[in-house]
Amino acid sequence: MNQILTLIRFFQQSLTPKQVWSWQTFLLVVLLCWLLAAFVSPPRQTILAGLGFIFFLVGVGIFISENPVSLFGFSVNNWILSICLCLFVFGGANRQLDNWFWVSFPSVAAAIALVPEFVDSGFKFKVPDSSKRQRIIIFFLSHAIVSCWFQFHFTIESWIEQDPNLMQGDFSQSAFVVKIDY
Amino acid sequence: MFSLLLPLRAIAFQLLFLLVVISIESLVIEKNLSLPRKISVEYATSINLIAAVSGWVIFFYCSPHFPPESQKMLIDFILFNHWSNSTYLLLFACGFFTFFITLTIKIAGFEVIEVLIQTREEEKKRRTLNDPRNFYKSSIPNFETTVVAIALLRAQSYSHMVISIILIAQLLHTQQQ
Repeated sequence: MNQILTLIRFFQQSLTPKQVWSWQTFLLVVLLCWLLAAFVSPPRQTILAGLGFIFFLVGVGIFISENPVSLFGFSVNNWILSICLCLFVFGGANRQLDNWFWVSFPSVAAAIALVPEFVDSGFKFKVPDSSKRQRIIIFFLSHAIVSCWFQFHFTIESWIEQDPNLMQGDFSQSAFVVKIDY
Repeated sequence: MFSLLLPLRAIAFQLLFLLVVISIESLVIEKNLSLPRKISVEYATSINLIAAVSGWVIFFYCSPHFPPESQKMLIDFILFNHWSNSTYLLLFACGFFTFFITLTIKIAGFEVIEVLIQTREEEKKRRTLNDPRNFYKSSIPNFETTVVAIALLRAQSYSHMVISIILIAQLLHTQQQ
């Protein structure tokens, strides 16, 4: 009983917003939106759920800018935001997650990471410094090529869908694909 | 039991080819255009990434529109590495055209990047200021474009030669088994 109380107190403390513009505020708004959405009928439900997701994105954005996440020394903030954004756009309310999510999220991640280069301190558009432009081009293209690899995977998958018998073949000689059983 | 086909080998090959091509082409660009090493590596990286991405995009747009027979051949080639006589012929023709299409894309990419970043322009100014012998070059129109095209043709020839050697080695290796 005591432990449950401590747990509740911990949640209460960490979820109470310290200021208006904080991730806790947005998390609470999201919960409110989704709670309301659970009780209304479809057209309004979709709008509320979508609104909740937008607030969720803003909340994640604020949380990430306060506590940057890095993996093997690389910052993965843009990847997290991109996955959330693409889930919202392509995975949306009742649809299944489709190819567009996988194909677009690496490029969107690159675009999100590059936003600071194109926006100055007053939230206005600026042209990036000439010393950084080459880097920006390489950065974006190297993410775009990952998108291409995902698209190649889906091209192969569409071939298999057209002719499921292909799956019975021997892929060990192939210079392109690997078959993974799980 | 589920099975999944992942293009991991294609990814590995593309990474290998990109590394080989970038290292060779950056050397050639450095020697032929007398650019600093760092800048030539960056140029080589971006033009090759542009070529790779546009190659993929062209493939994705074209492959659904192939006639059924060539599509069958393409699928057989990609999934099972089955070679028929017409595959050899088609691949040879494709390789031939790809060489020139990639070269065009690379030259165009180089020009676009040059306009976008303007480092070569500054470099040229610096050199003409330092070295009076270089001064007359800037008065000849399109001189730079021709030089760039020749340097890239040379770079592309060297790098594709190495890639062909790797591909032939891989082909011989798989045919042996």
